[in-house]
Amino acid sequence: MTQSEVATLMAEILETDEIAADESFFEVGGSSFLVLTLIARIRERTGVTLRMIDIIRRPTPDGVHELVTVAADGVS
Amino acid sequence: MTRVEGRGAGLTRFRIDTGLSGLPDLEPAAFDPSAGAAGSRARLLSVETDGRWRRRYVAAEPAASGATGLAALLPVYWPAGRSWPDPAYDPAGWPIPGLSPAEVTPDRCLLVGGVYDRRTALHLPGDGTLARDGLREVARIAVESGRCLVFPFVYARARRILDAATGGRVRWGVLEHEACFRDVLRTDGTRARVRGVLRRDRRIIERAATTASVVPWQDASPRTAGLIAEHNLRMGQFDDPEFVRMRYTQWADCAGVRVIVFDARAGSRHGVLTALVWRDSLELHEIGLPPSGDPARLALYLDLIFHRPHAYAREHGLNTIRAGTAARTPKASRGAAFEPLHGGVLDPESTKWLAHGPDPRSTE
Repeated sequence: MTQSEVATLMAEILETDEIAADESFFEVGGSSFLVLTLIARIRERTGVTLRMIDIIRRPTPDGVHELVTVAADGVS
Repeated sequence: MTRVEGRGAGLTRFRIDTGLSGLPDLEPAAFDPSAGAAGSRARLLSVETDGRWRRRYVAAEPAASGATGLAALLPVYWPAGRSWPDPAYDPAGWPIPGLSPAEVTPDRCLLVGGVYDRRTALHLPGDGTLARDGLREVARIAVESGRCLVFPFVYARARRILDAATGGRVRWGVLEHEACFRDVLRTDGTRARVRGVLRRDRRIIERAATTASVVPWQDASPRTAGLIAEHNLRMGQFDDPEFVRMRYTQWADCAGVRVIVFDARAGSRHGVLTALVWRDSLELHEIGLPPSGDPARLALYLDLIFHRPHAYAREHGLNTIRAGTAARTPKASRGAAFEPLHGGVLDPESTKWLAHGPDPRSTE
């Protein structure tokens, strides 16, 4: 999942136009509950299950993209 | 940022930073132990990694040459976004008379002390002048961003200091009562009435033949997070197993804190209780029990909220048990003492007045 795909997914969840690569999910309206939706959608698309704790520590499209990449490498 | 201010006999140096790493020379004593592990350096570092909150620290120290020691440490937080990361910290839900929800939206509040654990550690000096000067620095941060000061879940001592430092302008409400069992290692002195309750408990527990083990969080049953989340949902609190896992993974990352799980069974019933070991105390956190009204569930409940933790504390030389804020009546009947936790709001005008105004002790 590319960084731009993560940004698009976050924007869809937040019903906003776009999110910059370094913009925090929480600053643009994300909540803890919406992180659960984000985790579920990433799992549907990639098979990777991220942890909430990792997302609150790295809540940008950049950060989440890296988390997915590292987790996917661990899976494969 | 460093600022030196003086008034009267002493000069005080204020240092303001966004992380504890910017205040590297703080001694362990800088961290108020009154809130237990919630006030430890490790826990503050853990909050620093949470992208849902923004923060600053205000540290006050004597500036005179040769003087040492920290006079005050005030962490302040505000939500990164437009919603409250934890509804417990939304002052609009607090029982403060006359408080309008419009006054305390997330973009208008600066929370002083803490935003995790529903307990606040505030290293505040008894010296009124120093406390006021520290709060004045905090109020300046609030005013710069159009916010008012909010004091979540503070103990009585901190409330007294805050009242003195603000001339009684903070509006307060009691949010919760924290239960505590002290002198756990003493075997005498239990009141007869409490002894009677405990004897009845033991009979119920024996009839149900409960068994229990204590395991580190990392080795807990995979059902643990689900049991706790389901229990919280039944109590009307939104929760999810992933939130539970996050809470205890954060605690498990804190240096000096050991996260344990009491895992109890009675027949086919399964219950859990999470707890922290920190210094000489055991802190009980969350229980997870299956829904039912049968005697096995009651036995598990009694075993987990009192008997197993007390046995564990005695075995490990832990003299204090902090028992949380829920289930006040059953804890009281088993000998707990309670301390109220207060939530306070200093309205925007009073926050400006504190930041720029005259001595708060004057009534003008």
